[in-house]
Amino acid sequence: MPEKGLNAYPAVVEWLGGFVPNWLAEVLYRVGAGVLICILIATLALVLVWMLRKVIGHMQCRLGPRVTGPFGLLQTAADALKLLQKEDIIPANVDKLLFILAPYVTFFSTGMIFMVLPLSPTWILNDLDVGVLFFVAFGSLASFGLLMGGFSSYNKYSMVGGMRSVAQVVSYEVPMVLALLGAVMLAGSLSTQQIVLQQEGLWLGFIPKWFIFLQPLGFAIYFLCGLAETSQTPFDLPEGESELGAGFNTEYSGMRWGLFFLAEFANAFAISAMATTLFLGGWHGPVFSFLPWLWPFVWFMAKAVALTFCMMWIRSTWLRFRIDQMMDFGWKVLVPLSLLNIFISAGEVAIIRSGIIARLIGG
Amino acid sequence: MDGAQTGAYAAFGAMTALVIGGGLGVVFFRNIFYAATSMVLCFLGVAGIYFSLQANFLAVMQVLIYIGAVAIMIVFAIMLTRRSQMVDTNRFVRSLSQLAIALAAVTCIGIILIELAIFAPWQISGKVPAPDITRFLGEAMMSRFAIPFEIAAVLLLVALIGAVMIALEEVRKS
Repeated sequence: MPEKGLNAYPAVVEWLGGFVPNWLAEVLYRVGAGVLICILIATLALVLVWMLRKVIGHMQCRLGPRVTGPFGLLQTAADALKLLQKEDIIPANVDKLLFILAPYVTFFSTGMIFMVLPLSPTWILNDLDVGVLFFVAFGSLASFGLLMGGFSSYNKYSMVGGMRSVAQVVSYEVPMVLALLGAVMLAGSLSTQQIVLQQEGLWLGFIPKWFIFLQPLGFAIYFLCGLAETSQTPFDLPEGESELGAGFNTEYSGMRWGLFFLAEFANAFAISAMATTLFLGGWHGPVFSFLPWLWPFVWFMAKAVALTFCMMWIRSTWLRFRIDQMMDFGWKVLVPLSLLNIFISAGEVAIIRSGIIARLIGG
Repeated sequence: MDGAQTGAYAAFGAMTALVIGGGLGVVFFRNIFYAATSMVLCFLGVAGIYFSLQANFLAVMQVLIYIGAVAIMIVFAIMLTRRSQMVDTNRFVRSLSQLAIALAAVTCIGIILIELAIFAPWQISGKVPAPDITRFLGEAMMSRFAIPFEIAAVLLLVALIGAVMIALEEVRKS
């Protein structure tokens, strides 16, 4: 077992400090972290987009991509190349500055989220003591980018799309934070790495001590709100094709559109990864003697990708909400339920602290 | 001055530039959506200063509340009252008399602040900062400052119910 709560940041900076001055080590670490996040997001997008097509294809009795490379694996790469070659069109009537900035704002805030994901005991870019809040804060910043994109297009469909996106994020953020609170209360910490460490061990020798078993309601609420926050089906109203053209990104094309698309996939993965961290035990899993440092990373990725698969499953089988139904569901169902969940968590914390269970099962 | 301190000063300088630049943008942009966007920049700069002072909780709250809620509400309001062209929506920008008043006010406050910075004795507290500031804040809010905390909560609840009531009246009329 590697040292508990180890964080890449001080270790790497100290190691770099052996070669270059301290301040340069700090700067290098931050630049390196940014580059790493971009590479991670690009790789994830390549794999996840291919997976999305295959999953939805098979669920709808089609085959999905299969000509480009083995099993169509190179399809996404080919699409990316096509997007890069496309002419960069900025429509004449848009607000140029905001139009250009919007995809970057969205992509930036998505990238920031990856900083606090604990990929393995030692691999976390920065183990902030308020990691969970950091995740929520920058998740809401992403919607500002969508709003900028929708507004700057000067197109009523784009604007309605942007406004829907923000209304959705602002409404669903409330139950989402309240649902996260359950896991935070059980762990007694806001640091993502600490929350994972709290889920170590087994109950009765075979049930992993994951918070999902204590917080099934919290997990369900969080996952639903995550879908809404990242505009996945059934909450994809901001880009509802049947009503709004393509919503906030109607006027976007080429790589600018590609950045929005990339951010959407990275966001969906980040939501799954955060659910893994908070409720599914993060990187905990059996470690084998072959390459012991790699297994936690593999488990983390496997759990997060499995959750992303569930998102795709929902996407291929469910219909879109109507906007008033969505608002009703958020405020009248999810918010009361998540408040109930806080009471449940408080009860659980009280029971665990009193030590009754430990005496009963002798663990 | 060692390396870490240089880095801290550089970060502080960059963040201050962001705050001041963003603030000036809010005042001087003629397009009000640009003004709102530069306000977001300004808030990000403030969050950055909190981060560089290792007040992580405050920094994250700054992003969550001021950008995630306040700025987005302002932008929302702008979008709901949008006109066909956004040029010249930030009134008062070209008003010379207002500029003069603002300059006078800024000069007065600036003189006072510079005086304070140079001549006032600066006390450096010998106390050790709390190791886990978030836990410390949380415990203080739930014990010593429980009543102010609850009063703030009641205030917010009243505002929430008031907003719903106003919206209900609009629905009833139509």
